This record gives sequence, structure tokens and C-alpha cells, in this order.
Amino acid sequence: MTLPKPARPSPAAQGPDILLLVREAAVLEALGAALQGLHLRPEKAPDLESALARARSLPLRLAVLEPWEQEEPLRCVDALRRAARRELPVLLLTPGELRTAGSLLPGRCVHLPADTAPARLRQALLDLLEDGADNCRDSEQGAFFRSLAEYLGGALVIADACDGRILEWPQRAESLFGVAAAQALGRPFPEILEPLLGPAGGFAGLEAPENRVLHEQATLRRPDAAGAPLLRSVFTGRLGGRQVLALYFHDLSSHMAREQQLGIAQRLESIGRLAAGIAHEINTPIQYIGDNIRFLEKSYASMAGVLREFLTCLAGVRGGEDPRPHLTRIEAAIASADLDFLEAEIPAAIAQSLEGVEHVTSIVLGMKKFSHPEREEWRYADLNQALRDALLVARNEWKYVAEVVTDFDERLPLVNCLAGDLNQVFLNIIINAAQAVEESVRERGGRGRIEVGTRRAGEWAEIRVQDSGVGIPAAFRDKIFDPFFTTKAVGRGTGQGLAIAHSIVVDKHGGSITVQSEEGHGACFFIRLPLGGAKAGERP
Amino acid sequence: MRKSVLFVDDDQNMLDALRRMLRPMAQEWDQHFVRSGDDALLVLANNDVDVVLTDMRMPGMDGGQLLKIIQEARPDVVRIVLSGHADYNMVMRSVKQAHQFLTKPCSADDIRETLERAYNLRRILTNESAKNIVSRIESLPSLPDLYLRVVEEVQKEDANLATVARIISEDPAMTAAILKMVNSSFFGFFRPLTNPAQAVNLLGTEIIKGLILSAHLFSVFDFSRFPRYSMDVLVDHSLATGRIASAIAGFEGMPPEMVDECFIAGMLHDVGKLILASQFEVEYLGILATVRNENRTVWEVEREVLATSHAELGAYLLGLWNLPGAVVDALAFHHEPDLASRGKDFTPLTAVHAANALEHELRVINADYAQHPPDPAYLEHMGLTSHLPQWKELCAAIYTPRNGG
Repeated sequence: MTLPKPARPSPAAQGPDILLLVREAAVLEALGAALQGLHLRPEKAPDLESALARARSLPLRLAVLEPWEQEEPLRCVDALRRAARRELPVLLLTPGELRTAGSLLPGRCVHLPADTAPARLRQALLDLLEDGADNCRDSEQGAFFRSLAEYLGGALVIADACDGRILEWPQRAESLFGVAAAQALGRPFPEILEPLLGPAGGFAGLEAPENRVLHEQATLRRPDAAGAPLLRSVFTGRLGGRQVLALYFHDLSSHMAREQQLGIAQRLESIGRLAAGIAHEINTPIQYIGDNIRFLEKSYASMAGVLREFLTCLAGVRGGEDPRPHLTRIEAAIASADLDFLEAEIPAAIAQSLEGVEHVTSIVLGMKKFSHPEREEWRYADLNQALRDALLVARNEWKYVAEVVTDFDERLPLVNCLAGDLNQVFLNIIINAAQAVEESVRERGGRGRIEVGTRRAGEWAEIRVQDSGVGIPAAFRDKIFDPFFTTKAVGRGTGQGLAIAHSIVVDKHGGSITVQSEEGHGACFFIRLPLGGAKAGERP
Repeated sequence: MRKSVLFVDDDQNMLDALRRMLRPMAQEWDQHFVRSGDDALLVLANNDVDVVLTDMRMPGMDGGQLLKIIQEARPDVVRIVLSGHADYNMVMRSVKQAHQFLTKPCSADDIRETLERAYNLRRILTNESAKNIVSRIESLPSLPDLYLRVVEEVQKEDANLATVARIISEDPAMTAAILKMVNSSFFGFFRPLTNPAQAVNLLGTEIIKGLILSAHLFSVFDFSRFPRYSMDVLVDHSLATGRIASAIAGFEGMPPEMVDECFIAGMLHDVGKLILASQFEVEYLGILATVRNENRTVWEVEREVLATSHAELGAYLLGLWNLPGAVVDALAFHHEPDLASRGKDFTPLTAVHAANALEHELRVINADYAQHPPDPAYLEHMGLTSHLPQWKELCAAIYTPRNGG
């Protein structure tokens, strides 16, 4: 199916639609070449006066201006547009470099040197015509910077530095703040932004020296959405002849979510690493419990056989039978039942099975403390118990290489903390110690030692994890809390463990984490947590 | 002499439970239970031990290190890992030192069966010094070009499992090694598994990569010192024997598992020759010279010189590696089927004995070598004499001789 073509008026039937105010023949010739085949109807105006007259009377699509030297180019554009009573697209041709410094090039106005080649002229003309419907067509640089801001993912708002009136309000700002450009343009920015951002939406703190960028984090509170963290960057500079503020807003929610994800991923990673060890820890008791139950099953059958002989004997002797044949049968049954062995082994089998069940139970309980990796909640926790749990869950990591000694201050008060996060810290530090010991044992043989202790130090709870491992070389001591710093072989962790520990202890709890170590002679980690439990942002 | 087994585990509860569970075996088996590798070595120094079962992760000396020491010092002891599923990396480290792998938990019956099978291997190979040499073997030599191809394939970022499986199933040494792994209960598959391609797929790309590249499960040997002996011909003969054996089993209406077992038994029936070439080079070169000069069968000369033959050597190794008993029997008795049990059931031995002989008839490796047709008395006993002409037709249909070097 073909659509009927819209009737197209023939060019001859129409008046001129492009006005040329050009004084050099060479330029006119170049323009003629540029306009070749474009179905445009150019008209040459002899001077500015007549050009303005034509602009008043004709529905022009475009004007090309090559102003005389004494004429101020931008004023010509302005005059022409006032005559046309609209923002007529203008191609400004100027001798050499037009000095635009200190002046704002108006919209839909492109300027080029007068000696520009026809092909480039043609391109500029087409661009101007094509964007006829779009009111905010810009110069090339403007477009570049706007798309850069767009690409960076933020909203770049331009406001007058003196009165704060908003000069530019891009699409991104509309969607970020939920305010349309029509409502925002021309109004002072604090009027729009203060209700949404609080003080960070006003002038407060903007007295920065020129050409310095100010960064500040703020929270966006839209009535229709949850609070979102924003980074506000402010740059003061001159644009278009006036002092302006460039306010750049970047939504940090996805960034923060990613950081949180990374924390969770690290926790899952250590859980994953531990899972194999825990499977082994559980599998071993399951194996011997199962064996013991099978043994008890057989033992019961044997003992029941002996018991039956006794009962038969009892009934027979009561009935007046000779007991001696019964005794012979009972003795034979006892011998075949291996009764001495059963007597010794059955209680042991039961005791060891119960021991195994307790071991599995305590591991499962310990594991539960490490589930719900996403929940963050302040509560009072027993750090000694948390350390015991971490030691239990990580048992398979250390039990083959080290002896663990605990020295807990049983009078240590409960500490207000993010317990789940701290479990993670303790686990990371203990696994770290176990790996350091394993490395040293691999070279030296024998078994190492890990000491875990707690004590109260004034208003602080102090946790100490000391190992007899390989130690930390002096060169690495400053770096071990950096993200992704690791000296471990590939596959033994991403190097996030200590960085996460640092972030949890220092940033979230207002505590401290330090290490003392001598290469080859082990390391000792100290974690200090405020007993009161200072939350982030309220550090002592 | 009493049978004797040594259990090593660092967990006393574990050992106690094993001791209780295996109490009914105590009349036949001396049982030793120790908690460390050092104690295990003490027991080995002072006692005759047939089989050792060890945990992998233990403080001090771990299971892998213990098995390595036993492999050198007491190669006659059958080495079995008894470990939890989770010790994957540890097991990968010991794939060559351990003959077999058992996974916790496993039943008393499983342990008893494993011990009995290991003990009964003694009757296959009576030459003690040969037994020590075979027990020490970590891997069999593969065809160099197949080895290179499989390593190249698994090193690729997008290694293709089907390609890997195809290469492995063309090489008896690699096939045997993969079946050793897949038939260990460590990987938790149904036993027994005799299809190498299926085995490769079950193990999966990562384990196959680990086994080949880190654990070095496969190896190559320089066969250039065997001028008249071509490994290519041996491998061709093995593959053809496998195909003929499985065709015979199919023709006799055997179920698919039996057909697979016949293929694998045929494919592996001469792995003893790989052992001879790699472990008994001087003797084997002498044997081959005698065979040429005196026009006798290889295995008869082997037996004269070594007091054993490639049949027993191969069977003993694959028995240590816990391949299915029917496959091991087929290897052990493929020249003398009437020495095996006198039952009349069709077994892989039947198929391999016939296939081996028929393949030799079709292929003339060396015109001077003595021929050995299927044993007429055995066929008569099995009631299969009348099937021989049809088997020969089967062979001719599937056999396309390649001119081996």
C-alpha cells in the first residue's frame, strides 16, 4: 500500500525563504555552490536596512549574515531576529576568528569564517534548517558539553551567579528532580532545589573562589520517591558574558548499591570458601554417627538373642526343667554375641554419637549467625560469643595448622554494633590468621598458634587476634587494608577481606583496626570498638 | 597369612566407629587404627599390611604425603583414600598416588568389598617384584600426538568436552586413567562406568582440566627405542579389538552395559604392554627379539622371562584402579580363558578372547609372529563354536585395517 504523497508546491510559486546579506562576491559564489540542489529560494539583500525589511515581511527559514566591519555581528543577529519576531536560524560568516569570548552565542546561530569551503557551508545550512523545530539548537561546543554531562550520567544546571536564576535545565534535571524545564527556567534555583535538597539546594556554602569545584553529598527528598544520595558539584565561571554557577548533580544510589553489593559479595565469598570446610566438619560426625547406629542395630540384635535365651531359661526353670542345658545355651549365646565387646563399646558408641550430634548442632547454629548477609541492624551483642562463633565456623580453616587459644574477658560489656557486620570482620581476621599460619607451617612444618582475646580498655572494647604465621612485610603494612590488595595466591580470596573489615570497623562503628607485625614472626590485629556504639557520622 | 588393613584418620571418634562397624571382619582381617601419618608409618614398619585407607586432611602429614611415602617405601600396599566430599582439592593432589577413592560416609559392606577385591588381586599377579613395580605406576603412557591434542584442547578458553572425550577414547592409557577417576566413589557416580565419553561428560570441563593440567593424570613415554614395535599399531589393535568385542556382545544379544564393558575390556586388554614398554624396557626389548627369532607368542615368552605376562600386569593395575571385575578378568585371562571360572555365561572375557584372536588374524603385525586363534576347547565349553563363522563375518564388516608403522 502506498501513501499519497503530500502535494509539494513548486519552488517558483513561493517567495524567497533564505536571506543572504553578503558583501563579498567570493563568499556569495561559495554560498551559491553550497545551496546547489537544495530546493531553497535565496534572496540577496544589499544592506542591513533592506535585510531587516525583508525579515519583517517574509516567512524566512534562514538568514546568512556577513556583517560589515563596523557592525557588531551579534547585534546584527539580534536586530534581524527582532525584525522577524522569532529566533530565526542564522549562519554568521565572519572574517577570520570571531572573538566570542565574553559573549554568549545565541541559540540556533552558527558562525563560520567567511572563507569556509562550500561543502562545510552546506553542512552548516542543513544543520540549521533541520533543527528548525528544535528551539535549543546550539553551537558545536555547547552540544559537546551538554552531551558530555549527559554521558557522565548527571544533570548539569546553569544558573546566574548573581540572582540565581536558572538559565539551563536539561532533560536529566527534569527527571532527577521531577520539575519540568518550563517551571524551572528563569526562577532562582534555591526556590526549586531547597525543598528537595535542603540547605544543599541553596546558596549556602557556595562562596567558593572562582574556578574551583566544590563537591558535596546531599540527599534528594522527593515526595514521590525514597531519599536518594546525590553528589553536588559546583563550579563558578563566566559564560556568555556573565558570572554563572554550573551545578552538577550526580545520583549516587546505584553507586552506593554497588558498594553494598560488593560487601555482600565478599561475605558470600568467605561463606562459600567456608562451605567446603563446613561440609567436611559436618560430614565427619555424620559418617561416624551413621556407623555407630548401624553398630547399635547389630548389637541390639545380638543382645536380644542373649536375652531370649535367658527368658527361655527363666520360663523353663520355673516350670521345673533342668537348668544346666539352659546354661550351656546361654553361655553359647553370650560367646557368639561378643558380649564383653558390646558392653564396652555400646556406651562409647552412644556417647560419641551424642558428641557428634552436638558438634553438628553447634556448627549449624554458628552458621546461622552468618546468614542474612543483607540485614544491617544495630543491637547489643556479646563479642566473646561472636568470636567463638567465628572460630567455630572457620574451624576447618585452622584446625589442621594451628592450635587456638582464647583469652576472653568474661566481664566485657555488650557492645552496640552491627553484629552481622562484625561477625564478618572476625571471620575475615581469623581466616587471615589461619592462612598466614598455614603458609608458615608449610615451610617449617609442625603446628602454629592463634590467640584470640578480648578486654576492656576504658570506653573501648578491644579484640586481639594474634597468629604465629608468616607475618606482614613492612612494605605491605600500610596497604593491607586497601581494597584488592592481596599477597595471596589466586583463588585464595579477592583481597577484599581486610578492606571490608576496615570499612566496617572504622567507617561504620567509629572504631579502629591496627596491625603489629614482624615479617616471619606472625602478626597481631587489634580491633577497638566504642562501647557506646558510635554510628557512622557520630564519631567520637 | 592373615589379611591386614590400616586405617588412618585424625578423628578418634571416626576410627572408633569404623572399628565397631568392622568388628565382624576381625576374624579375617587384622585391623590397625592410627591417628596420624607418622603412626601409620610406624605400623607399616612393624606389620604386614595389605591395604591402607587414609583420610586426606590431617594435621602434620596429610593423606597425600603419606601415600607418596608408602608408594615409594611399601609399593605392595594397596593405597586407598577414604575422605569427605569436600576435600576436592586434596583429592586432586593425590590422584596419582592413590589407587582408589572412597567417599565418606560409606557402609561397612562397601569397605569390606573394597578390601576383599584389593586383597584378591594378589592371586592375579604372583610375581612380587613385578607387583611392586606395577603398584608404583602413577599413569600409563599415551600416544604422544593424542596426548598433545588433548592438552591443547583443554588449554583452550572454550575447550570442547566432546572433542576431549573423542581424543581420550582413542587412547587406552587415557581411557584407563579416566575410568579410574570416574569409578572412584569420590565423584559420586553410579558404578561401574565403562563408557569413556560418558565418563568425560560426567566429570565436566573443570575437573577434566584439573586432572589433565594440574594433576597430570596423563603422561607420554618415548617409544622410539622400540624399533620393531609400534605403539600406533598397538593402539590400533586395541581399538579394533574393542570394537569387535562389543560387536560380538551385541550379536549375542547382550544388554548395553555388557556391550560397553566388552568394548572397554577389548580397548584395554593390552595395557600390560604399555607397562612393559615403560617399566620393563630392557626385558621387553629382549622378549620382542626372542619372539621374532623363535616365532613364538609374545605372552609365552613374557612368562618365561618375567614369570608373568602383559595380561596379568594390566589386569593387576586396572584392578588396583578399581575397574569393574569383569573387565579385570577379561584382561587377566584373555589368552587363557579356560583358566578363569568354568561358568558358561557370556562375559567380557569371552568377547575379548575371541576379538583379540580374530583381530590378530585380520591384521598381520609381523608375518613372522605366531598366530593364536580362539581357543577351540573354550568355545566348545561355552557352546559358541558354531557362532565363530558369524563372528568372523562381523569382523570383516567392521574392520578396516590401517597400515600401522
